Amino acid sequence: MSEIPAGAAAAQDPAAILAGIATPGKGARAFAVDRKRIVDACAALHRAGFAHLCLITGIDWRDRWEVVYHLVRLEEPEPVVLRVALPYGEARIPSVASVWPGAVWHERETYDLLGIVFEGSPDPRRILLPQDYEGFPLRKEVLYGNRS
Amino acid sequence: MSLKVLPSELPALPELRDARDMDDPHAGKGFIMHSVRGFIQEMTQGLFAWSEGRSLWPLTFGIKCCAIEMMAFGASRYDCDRMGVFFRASPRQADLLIVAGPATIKLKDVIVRLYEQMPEPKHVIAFGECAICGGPFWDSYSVINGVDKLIPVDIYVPGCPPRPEQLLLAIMKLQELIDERGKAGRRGRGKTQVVGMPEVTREELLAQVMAHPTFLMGHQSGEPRIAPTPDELARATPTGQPAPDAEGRG
Repeated sequence: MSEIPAGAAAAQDPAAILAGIATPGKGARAFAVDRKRIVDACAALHRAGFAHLCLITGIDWRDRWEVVYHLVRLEEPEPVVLRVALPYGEARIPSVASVWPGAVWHERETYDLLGIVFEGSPDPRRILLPQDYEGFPLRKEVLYGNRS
Repeated sequence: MSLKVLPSELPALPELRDARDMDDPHAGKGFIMHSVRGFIQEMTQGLFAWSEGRSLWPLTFGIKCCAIEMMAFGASRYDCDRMGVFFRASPRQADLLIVAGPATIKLKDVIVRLYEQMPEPKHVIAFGECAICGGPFWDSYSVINGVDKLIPVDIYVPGCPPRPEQLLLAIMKLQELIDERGKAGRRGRGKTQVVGMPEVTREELLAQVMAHPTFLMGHQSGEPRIAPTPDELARATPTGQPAPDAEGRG
């Protein structure tokens, strides 16, 4: 946030910021986060200068969901990646719209195409498909439905 | 306020009407009146059809990349103005709808409404594979397989995308169709044509396209290919090494 000078923010290591909240994942700047701690992790990174949320995306691994957050500190080229695994039957995760209001659009898109529900979102509607569209087209189970 | 109206919330549109299905308003007004009208119609409909064909004003309505070819058709090299084709910004001034791109389920109501707003006699050109049958997006979750599922189409122009010359040819074919209909005493829409393949019916064209989806993407071989093989890469670069990608990796 603005109360932290840019130099101090750049010096702070994301691993130190996320100590106790997230566990290191694959890669130096990738972290695995439990879904109950995702808002805490995002808020801590936001306070440390990660002002820009590049994207939220969802992955269908056929046995679990994964929600991926790319966060950027504008002084640094490399993003920090947060990965949240969700059990396959329960595609629900807290919304981070309280940290970045603009996250709502990313969350709406992920809900629109994959059906992952972002709890507490101020605007949980679909974003691209018609509101009365049935199903979630980028789920693996329906991806090739038209070809079968 | 109006920005918040979703396409699905629009009021239901009436069934598509066809001018030639409407009842004759002069029916039962007497033999002489009917004959005089018929005589005048007989004398003038060729002229009307001629003028209609030489002032086809399409709607400025480009959906996707085929619209680039439509723009080229309107620019100075191909110069559609010399054929009396002037793009209009309002459907109420247009009598030709060039559907240059895929019709998605979200665009469905818009296309039907634009068509309904155009005054009779009106014509539709399905320009490109997407407008004919869905094209490369034939199995997409959001694309309607062919705009003729929504509105009647006069001319089909195959290609992905078609060349601007094909749109010129389509305009000329449409003029021929309008002249034929004028001679037959019937204006408005009638039979349809596939431009560039006069011997092929729409069903045969669709069968060809669906049998070889890769044909749409410009591949000559029947096998679908996603990336070039190492052999092809080696032949493509003068050093014999595979070409590095944009970031210099491998």
